[in-house]
Amino acid sequence: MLDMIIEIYSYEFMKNALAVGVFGGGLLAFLGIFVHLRRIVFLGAALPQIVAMGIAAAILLSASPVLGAVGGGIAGILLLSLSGKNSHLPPEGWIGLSFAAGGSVAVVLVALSPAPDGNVLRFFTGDILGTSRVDAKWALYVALSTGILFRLFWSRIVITGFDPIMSKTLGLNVHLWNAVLFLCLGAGLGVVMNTAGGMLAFSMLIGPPAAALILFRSFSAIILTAVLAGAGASFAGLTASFLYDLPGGPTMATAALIPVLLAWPIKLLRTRYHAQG
Amino acid sequence: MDLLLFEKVKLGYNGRVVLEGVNLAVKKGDFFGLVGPNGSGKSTLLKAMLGLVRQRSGKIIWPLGMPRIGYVPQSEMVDPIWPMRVRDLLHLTLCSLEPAHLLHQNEHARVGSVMELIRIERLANQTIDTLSGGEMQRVLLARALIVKPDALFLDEPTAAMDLVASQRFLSMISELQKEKEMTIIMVTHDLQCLVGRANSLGIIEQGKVYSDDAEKLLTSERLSQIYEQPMLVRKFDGNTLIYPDSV
Repeated sequence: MLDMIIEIYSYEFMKNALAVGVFGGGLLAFLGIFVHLRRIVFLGAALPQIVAMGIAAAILLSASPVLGAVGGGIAGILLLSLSGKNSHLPPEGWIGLSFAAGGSVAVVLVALSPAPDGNVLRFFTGDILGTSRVDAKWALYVALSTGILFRLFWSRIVITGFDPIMSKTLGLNVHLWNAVLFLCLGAGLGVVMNTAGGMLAFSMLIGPPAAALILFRSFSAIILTAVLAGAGASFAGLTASFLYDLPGGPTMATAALIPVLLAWPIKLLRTRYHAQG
Repeated sequence: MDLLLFEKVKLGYNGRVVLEGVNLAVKKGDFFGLVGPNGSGKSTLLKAMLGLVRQRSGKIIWPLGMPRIGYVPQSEMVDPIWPMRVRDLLHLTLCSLEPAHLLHQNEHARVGSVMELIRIERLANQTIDTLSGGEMQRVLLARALIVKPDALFLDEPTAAMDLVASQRFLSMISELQKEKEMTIIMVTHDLQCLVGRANSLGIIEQGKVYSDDAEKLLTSERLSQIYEQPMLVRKFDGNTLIYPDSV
């Protein structure tokens, strides 16, 4: 088994795909904890569409798709955070509009692009096996930067999300710490979508942290479980896709949802065990 | 000495004026009770005091400078899905003001002493989703006190409590005010719960704020004027009772 795994990951493209899967998947699983806790899951669904629009715009302008993805993510977060203010349309309405606009405009921009070939379309459907070493490095850099930011400002990011009104009364800049979280979210979605597509990015953002939140009630256990589940699902999905000749991104996205299926029975068994004990 | 002054303040949202011509003064060390029915604008007034809502006109002045504020929201405002133990919540609040590695060890001990003060030590390792309304309110009080506030703002703190828990909580607030000489500003819809505790009051009625010392305001004549119906203030067995004359 080990020999087989070593052989699979001796290929350069598999190493790069695994690196993006592990770094990007772990990163999105971590950030997804806050997406769930802040009850902004729909935002997580709309963002990949806006990121896709950013990638399409970058391609049309012959700019770097990575920059388009990260820029699209950050711009999307900023727009969505501002759009609900002083408006009769509820935030969900703005998110729905962004979802619809992002996806459709992205396809139109790609059609207008001088080279609407398979290489361009991979940004939307995802082609994790086409990941380059540069893509892997980007995923690592964004994951590391996010880790450092959260390590330095953990209490401020958490407390401003948990109770923004009380935080304001303490003189904390709620907008700043929201922006830090959303910046990391935009950048994280950008790097993963650029290589693996929206489906995998959204699955990683929602699946592993959901499993961790079902199972545990302490931040340290939730973070550890979510990140390991995200990284583990990437590895398992990628390996399975190679072995059974399945599409890489969708197989990894499916694997990212398996921890949730496992978490429910574990939670039920644990509750029953504690009730008996 | 005045801690907070409102001079002809006008407050509102989206083109709607909620309160107009608000004049009030909160003295340092006062227990100031702000009373009004639901939708009267008392939460808006509290938000204006906290700097969360800007006034349309008039002046909000802190003559002694902006104090450090402790804020106790209604317990329903706290989202219980956040995976936090009571101890973690207090630590996070403390560390949010200064990074954990810069905090002196004594500051960490402060979490323990505040829990002891509010008598919530037994809740320290419980997660916030397992707390009752009364327990949650005490935890929120502890969280407000952890920042060593000069002024404590409470927004309908007893709304989710039964009568006994509510009386215990209010007694705790009164003790804190006397022991720590802290300014307390408490919003409630129940005037009766402030009697004997608040030494100054603001009563909101039909868009106007009547503010004065509790002794001057809590008379049958004054309350009848404010509520535009006969009100009675009676001493009974050492307690002051307030009720409409029609009862």
